[in-house]
Amino acid sequence: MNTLLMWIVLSPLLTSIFIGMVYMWGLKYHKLARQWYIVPALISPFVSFVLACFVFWEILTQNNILVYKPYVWLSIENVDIYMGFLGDKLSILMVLFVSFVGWMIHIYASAYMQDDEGEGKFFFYFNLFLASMLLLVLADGPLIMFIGWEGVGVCSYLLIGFYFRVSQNVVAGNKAFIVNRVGDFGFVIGMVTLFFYCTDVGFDYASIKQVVGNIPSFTLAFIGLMLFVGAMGKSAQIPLYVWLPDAMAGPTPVSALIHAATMVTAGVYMVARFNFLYELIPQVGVFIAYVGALSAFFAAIIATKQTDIKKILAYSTMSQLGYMFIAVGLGGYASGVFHVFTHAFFKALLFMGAGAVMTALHHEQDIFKMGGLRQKLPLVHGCMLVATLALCGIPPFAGFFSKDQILLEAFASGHYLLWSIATLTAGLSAYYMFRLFFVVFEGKNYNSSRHIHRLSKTMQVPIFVLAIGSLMAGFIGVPLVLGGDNHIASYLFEWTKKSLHVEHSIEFALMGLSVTVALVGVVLAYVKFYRYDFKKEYVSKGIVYNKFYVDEFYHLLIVLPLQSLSSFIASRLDIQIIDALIMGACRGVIKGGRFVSLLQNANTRFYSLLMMCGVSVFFIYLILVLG
Amino acid sequence: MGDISYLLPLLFVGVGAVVLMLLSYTKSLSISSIAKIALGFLVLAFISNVYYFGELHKVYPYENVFFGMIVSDTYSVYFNSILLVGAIATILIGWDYFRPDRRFTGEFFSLLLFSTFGMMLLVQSAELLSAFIALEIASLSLYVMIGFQTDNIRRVEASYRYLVLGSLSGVLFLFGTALIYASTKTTFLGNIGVELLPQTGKDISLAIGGATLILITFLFKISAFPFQNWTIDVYDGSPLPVSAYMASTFKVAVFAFMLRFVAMDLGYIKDYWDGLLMGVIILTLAYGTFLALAQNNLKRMLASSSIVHTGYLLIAFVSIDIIGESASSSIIYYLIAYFLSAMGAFGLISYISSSDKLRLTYEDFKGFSHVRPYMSAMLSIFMLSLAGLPGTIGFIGKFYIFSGAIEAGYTVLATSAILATFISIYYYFKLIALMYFYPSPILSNVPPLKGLPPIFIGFIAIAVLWGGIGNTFIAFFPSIDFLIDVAKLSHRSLFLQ
Amino acid sequence: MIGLEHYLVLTGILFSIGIVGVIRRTNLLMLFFSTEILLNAVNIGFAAVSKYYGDLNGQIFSFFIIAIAASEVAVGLGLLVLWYKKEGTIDLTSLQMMKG
Repeated sequence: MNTLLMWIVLSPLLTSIFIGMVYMWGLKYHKLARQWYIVPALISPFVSFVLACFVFWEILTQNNILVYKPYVWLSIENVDIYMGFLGDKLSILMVLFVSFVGWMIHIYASAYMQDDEGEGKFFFYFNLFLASMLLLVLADGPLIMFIGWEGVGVCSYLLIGFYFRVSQNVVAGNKAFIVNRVGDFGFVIGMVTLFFYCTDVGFDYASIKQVVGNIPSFTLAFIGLMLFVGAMGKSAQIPLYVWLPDAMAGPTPVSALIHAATMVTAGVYMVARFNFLYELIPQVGVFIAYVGALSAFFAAIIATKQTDIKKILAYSTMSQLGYMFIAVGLGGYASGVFHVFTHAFFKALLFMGAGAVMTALHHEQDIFKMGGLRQKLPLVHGCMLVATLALCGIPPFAGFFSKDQILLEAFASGHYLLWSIATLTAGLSAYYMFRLFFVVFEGKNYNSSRHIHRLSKTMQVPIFVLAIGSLMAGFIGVPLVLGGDNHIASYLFEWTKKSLHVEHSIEFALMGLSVTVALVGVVLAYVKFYRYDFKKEYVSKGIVYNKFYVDEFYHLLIVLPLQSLSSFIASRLDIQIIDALIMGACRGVIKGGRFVSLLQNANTRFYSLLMMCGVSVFFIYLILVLG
Repeated sequence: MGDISYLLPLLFVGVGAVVLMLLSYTKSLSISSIAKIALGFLVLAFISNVYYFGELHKVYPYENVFFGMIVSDTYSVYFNSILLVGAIATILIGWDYFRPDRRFTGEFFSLLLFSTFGMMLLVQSAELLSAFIALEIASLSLYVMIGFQTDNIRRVEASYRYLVLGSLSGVLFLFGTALIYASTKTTFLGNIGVELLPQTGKDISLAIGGATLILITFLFKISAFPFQNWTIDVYDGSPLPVSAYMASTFKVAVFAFMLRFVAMDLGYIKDYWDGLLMGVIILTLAYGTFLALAQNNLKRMLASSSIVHTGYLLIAFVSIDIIGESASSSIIYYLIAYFLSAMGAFGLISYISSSDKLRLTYEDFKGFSHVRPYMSAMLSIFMLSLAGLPGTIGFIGKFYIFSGAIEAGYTVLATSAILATFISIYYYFKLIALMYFYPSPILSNVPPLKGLPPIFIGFIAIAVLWGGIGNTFIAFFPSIDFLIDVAKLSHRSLFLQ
Repeated sequence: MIGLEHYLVLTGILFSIGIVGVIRRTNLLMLFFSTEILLNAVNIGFAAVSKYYGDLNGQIFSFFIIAIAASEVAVGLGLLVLWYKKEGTIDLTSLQMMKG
């Protein structure tokens, strides 16, 4: 049973290697039928999913933790770091929906990427991404997790710049990669600091858990913060969020899988994984929660003014990630993971819907050039509506239950400021999501003569499946007050907040309030955009539209000084001082070489003379030493 | 199995040498079938040798016949494996080089086996005179191998120079042995050390002189500073596979003997050499570095750089009595690292130049990557490893040596070694730069990538990378640490009773 | 009375003569003579020490050394003949092709 854990990761990994080789072969010799890529690419996530189901069942029935350590990966001093896989309740839950949603998006992508010449490459990266993500989740220690962590980063970079002929996309890819490096730097520092305390026990979670108690609290807080810096980068939180909107340059399935459903939630998962560490440093947790709340709020505000459909969704992703961090920061890891879970469904669905709309409209991304698609794309319309409602937290859709738990926890923890920001953000979310929805699918005076590209069945099926998911996923966590069992909380009991006592009446009131706020947002959007007139040019300006000029601010504060410093170094320091010195030294050294080679005069007698001189020097030295 | 099993590797090689000598008398066998027979004997020897690999033991086989002159321990098994791999590698990479029209005949392989036999005997000898005989067997066969292509005057000159200087150094070894014999009445390793203990109250200055003379022979063979002049001329003058063989294996065998001698007997005397060796190391590094900078011929460059590598090795040799086991294991590891990289570099160059058009200078490699991308990649790997860049086995080897030197307190040596490494990048990367940063030339006569040698060299290249990563993603595959662990074990086996 | 030290001094003197010969002589044949002198110097040393200790090993060593000296000279003379055939001289100074 334990070996299955490894095969969950190996299945997409081997597939990706296979696809990569087939693709290379196809490039070099003659083009192969696309079935060569598609069939393995679609099978591998399914295999992972089925295997994960087996493991899940095992864990559920036997209630044990599976660990599989095939071999020693690194051995440092007396610590052996195994290539270890850990299947416990948390990781298997993640694996289940990552592989399932991944599978759906693979199916969707097979239609979306149909006519692209780099299809083989795409699926190579895509499967590699899946393998890295599953490794990240299933890792039994931070170092193995880091392999997956970097793996997903690389795949994300490669896929953002997938259409590399447009330089803008390449810049976006670089931006994502570099910003993530900043985060990873923090992560590595945190990990290394942690390692110093683990030199006797090992570096897997179970061993770290033993020693965290002995770490001085200040150091522990430092470690927690540094690890969180990594999460900031990966999960696009203030201040390292700037890459996420630009990352939408990649193909839409990429945005759906990597930049919405899975990779960006890695930070949340990491914090949940380290729950034993963060539980000891609640003050850092509060900091995390505030960063999350601010990110959520900030992103929601920006999203209200964007015009690019994918960018709106990107900001909304960032905003939802903020919610998750509120939860995990306050110790409600189960609720955070629950939101990760539901979010994966509806956000992937939203992106896939957006992709479908874009396909239908020949890669149009500006929502103000869409409009009136309700009749043309009825299925997409219906599914998007489900997803939008889920995101806004309207019962009984998935988002309601998870978001409600987070709000409840924020309130119960006594951080009312957090709670009010989060509630306000819920209203904003409802507003910008329905703004998008109404503008895309309703409106008047839109250009009705345009040609609508037909959508294939392969594209619509996953959308439909995920719509069902968005509808149902929340029911595994129906709170007790509503007569549910809250399965998720009992399943992830280890990760729930222990002391949570709220009166039922307050719980109802909070629920009502958050739904009301959301409805207010919906109504506002309805009034403003339901009958939106597409004749009017949408005025896109203002500080919010320009994302508060944060990109420009970063450019001015960090990029420009660095650039001028490097140009100074390049033109002055390098050429005039260092180069001059080094070249001078080089010339001297080479001259020395010529001089030395004079000794190499091919005269045997001279050589033996030199040898004998050496012998004499040796013996003179010995005589001096021996006295 | 009995005592014979410990001698099987030696026997296979020795018998093989004799058989090949007899076979070469008949003209009916082609050179490639003779090469195959030689390979067969070497592989048999290797298999019988690997049988004891990594097992802690120390046996004096047939003590009533050899009186403990020959020893078989973990240490000798370890080094014999390297030597046998070296001999096998020489045949494989030279597969296309050894052709009748280049005046290679069956005797050449007989000599190769004799030389390997001598080196193995040197590794296994536990007595000074048998060590000398082994050394001479190895050297004499090498002299002839170098001068085998009698039509080429450079070969003769190289052979001649090596013969004269080699016998001079051999005489020093003998004289040293005589002095030690005069001082301690014994020539057996282990017994000498007992006689030299300060407790005996003897005047040991004679023995110190003798040991120093032996040290000088050792320094000569590994080409350390005042005794290094022959290196470049001999490497340059030899056929390329022979250069590869010399560079990679002979040094290993000589180091093996010297390490054994120093570890078992000279622990006390070695302190007198400290200052001396420090000077030797710094001058060796400087000389090799400067010389390598001035070379245009790749073979001469590799030869000069082998002097630099000797310097690195000697650093670990000096620190041996302070950090003991880890120093000797880092020497062994570095020897393997150098063995692989040098064998690969020499082998690839010999393959490239195996068609008669010579391609041996830097200039000849301009734009080479456009014509032969895989060969260029492999050559780059070997150059990177020789320069000691991370990700290659050369880096790990240097890392162990430098960190060991710093740990032992020889900061000056470590600094100068790092400086030498720094400069070495110039002459190694020059080749890489020439191969990659020049437009494609019109090259004819470059053999394509096919046949046995390139495959084998490809394996060496992979081994270089594998050793550099140190650990591996590949499940269930031993990491390179295993070699280090066995090296430590073999050091321990020296002191078994 | 002639003691061990006298023999050792003789060894040393012969050794020095041999070394000077190797360094000074340009004639290849003379050079081989010099190496022979070197080896035989060591032989004397071994024999003398052996006699002094009453240990026969040293004298056996001399035999081995003589055998090795013979094989060395065999190789050397072979090369010498080769060289003479090619160049018509056995002067060492003609053997200087690989400078630098």
